[in-house]
Amino acid sequence: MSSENIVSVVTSFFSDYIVKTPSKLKVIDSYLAYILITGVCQFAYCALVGTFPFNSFLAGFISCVASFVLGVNLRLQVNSENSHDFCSIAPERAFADFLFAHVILHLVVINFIG
Amino acid sequence: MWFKGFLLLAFLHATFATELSSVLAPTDIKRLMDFFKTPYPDLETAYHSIKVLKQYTQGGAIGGDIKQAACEQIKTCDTKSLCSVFYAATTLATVGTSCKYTIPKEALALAKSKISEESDTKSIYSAVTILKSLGKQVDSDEVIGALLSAVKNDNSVLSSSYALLTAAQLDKPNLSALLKSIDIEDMAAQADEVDERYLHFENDLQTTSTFISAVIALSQAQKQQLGITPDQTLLFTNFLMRAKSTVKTCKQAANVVYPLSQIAASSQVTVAKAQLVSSNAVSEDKPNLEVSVTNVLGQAIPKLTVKVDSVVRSTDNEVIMSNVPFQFDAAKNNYKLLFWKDKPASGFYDVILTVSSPSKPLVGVSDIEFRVKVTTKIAITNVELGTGEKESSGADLKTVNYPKPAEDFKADQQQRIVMKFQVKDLNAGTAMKPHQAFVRFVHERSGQEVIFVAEPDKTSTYKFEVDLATAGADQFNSVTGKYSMHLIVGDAAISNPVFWNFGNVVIHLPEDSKKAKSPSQSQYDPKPEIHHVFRKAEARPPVIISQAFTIACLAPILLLFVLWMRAGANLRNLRLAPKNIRDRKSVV
Repeated sequence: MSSENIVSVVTSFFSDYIVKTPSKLKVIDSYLAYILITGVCQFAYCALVGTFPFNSFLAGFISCVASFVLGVNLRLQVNSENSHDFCSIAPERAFADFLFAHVILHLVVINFIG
Repeated sequence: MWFKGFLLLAFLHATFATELSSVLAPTDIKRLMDFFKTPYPDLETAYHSIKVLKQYTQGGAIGGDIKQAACEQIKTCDTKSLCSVFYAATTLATVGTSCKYTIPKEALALAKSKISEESDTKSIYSAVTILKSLGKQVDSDEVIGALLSAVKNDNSVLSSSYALLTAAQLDKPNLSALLKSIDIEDMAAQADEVDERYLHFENDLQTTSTFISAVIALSQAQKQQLGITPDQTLLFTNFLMRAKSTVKTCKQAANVVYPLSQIAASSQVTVAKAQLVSSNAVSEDKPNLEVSVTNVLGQAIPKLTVKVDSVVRSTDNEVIMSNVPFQFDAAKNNYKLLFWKDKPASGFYDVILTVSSPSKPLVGVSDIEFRVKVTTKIAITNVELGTGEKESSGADLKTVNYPKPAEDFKADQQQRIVMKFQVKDLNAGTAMKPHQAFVRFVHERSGQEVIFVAEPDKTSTYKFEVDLATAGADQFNSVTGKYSMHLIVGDAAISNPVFWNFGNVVIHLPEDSKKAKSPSQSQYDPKPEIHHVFRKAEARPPVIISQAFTIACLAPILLLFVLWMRAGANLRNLRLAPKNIRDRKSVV
């Protein structure tokens, strides 16, 4: 019974998501999913095989985590439902912040990667 | 009292001084005689050579070739030079009639003219010698008058010596006036003395040599005693001996050999050197003490009285011999004494000799003292060898007959190896205690040596014991195996020291738990070499796995594009125009 419920909840959640979510947010969600899977892959390698180039692992993983956080921030600011919280910030401005933060982040990451 | 002591000291010092430093050894004589070898380069060399050879051989015959060589030089004589004529005339007199040469008349006139009050002593000496050697008569009074005035002008030692040499050639001269102005005793007193060993004039070989020649020649001509004391003769001789090794020319060699030959031939004094020529170890095989007494030319002097003053045993100061004469051994040209006659006990003896001459004073041989060691033969007797149990005091001993070795036996750490022996003096027939007695174990394979000291007891029996319980680890280093055993007995007074392999023993010892080297050994071992060690690389995962994960990490980007396409993302509204880019910038 419960598994049927869960399946029905999930399917209704997805259909709702596909219908109601603006395509802009979908692009960002895709990006977040991509980042998440990449991070999981890296962590799996570290856990299963070894930490050998430990600085490289850290750089890659930090890159994933920080990109994810930045992506979530962008999503929050771009989401029209949150517009009353971020009324002073236009979506373009949020994207520009996102890009700028990424530049800074990846300067650090490249430095770290050795 | 102290004055007496001082006198005694002074006397002892004087005794020490009166010793001949050396004699002309055969090598010295050969070296010196090489200066007189033919052919002669000039007349002077020929003169010195002939003069020395005549004196050295005591007037013996001179070889024909030497005469021939000298004659050739005589013919080169410069008749205008007194010196040259002097050399030629004296040499001619010795060489004799075999040399066809006559001294010309004008040379004789030259010599005669030199005997005057204006000449120096050397010229007068040369002139008189020329005339004498040619058999001419010389007026003694005239010569003495000329000498007196010459000595007045030059009273140096060399000048005075020539005057004396001249006087020695004169017939029945009245020398009292001359000897008043030349005081030989006074001259000798003025000679320089070095270390109370040497006497010389100004360290000059020619002056000293001429002085001695003159003194001896005068004494022989006058048949009187020497003008100098025997002790002074000895000190002058020492000076000549010191010069023997430094001569460079024929003239210097003549200045050494000629006076020494005169001293050796002198009827007034004997200068001698006494030496112990036999070994100072006396045993049954070498029973004699041999002493050589030689004159300055290294020739043995017979007819002397050589006596043992005393022979004292050094351990207890007992006099075992006194006042015993030596016999002259004509075959060996030395004096010998049968020291072994009464079979003296082995040990060290101090021997004092006296040498005296019945006819004339003897110098150069002061009291001769030396130490003689009497050695004896030994045998090892009453040898017993065996093992004993650790706890019990007794031991199972078997007799061993020296010099046969014992039978092999075994021992282990519960046992003791025991050995007893006596050292028998074969001459005295009694047991003795030699200075050194050791027992040596040598491991057959490794060559490890262990040496123990055997100690004698009151009855002179040596007892030697090794307790293998303790010695096994300490001395034998716990090395099990066959050991050969040696007895080593030695002493300065033993002529046949013993090194006897008296048997073999198989020693069984427990393994040593602590085989570690002693710290003193490891201290000198090389330190371990230091290598730089890099950190070991961590284990890498297989390449395939790494590549798979690389692809896995990159793969989501495809997913991203797929999702973006599904979400309808596109760049269709983006126009790449400068205006748009500017706008974007302004937004940022």
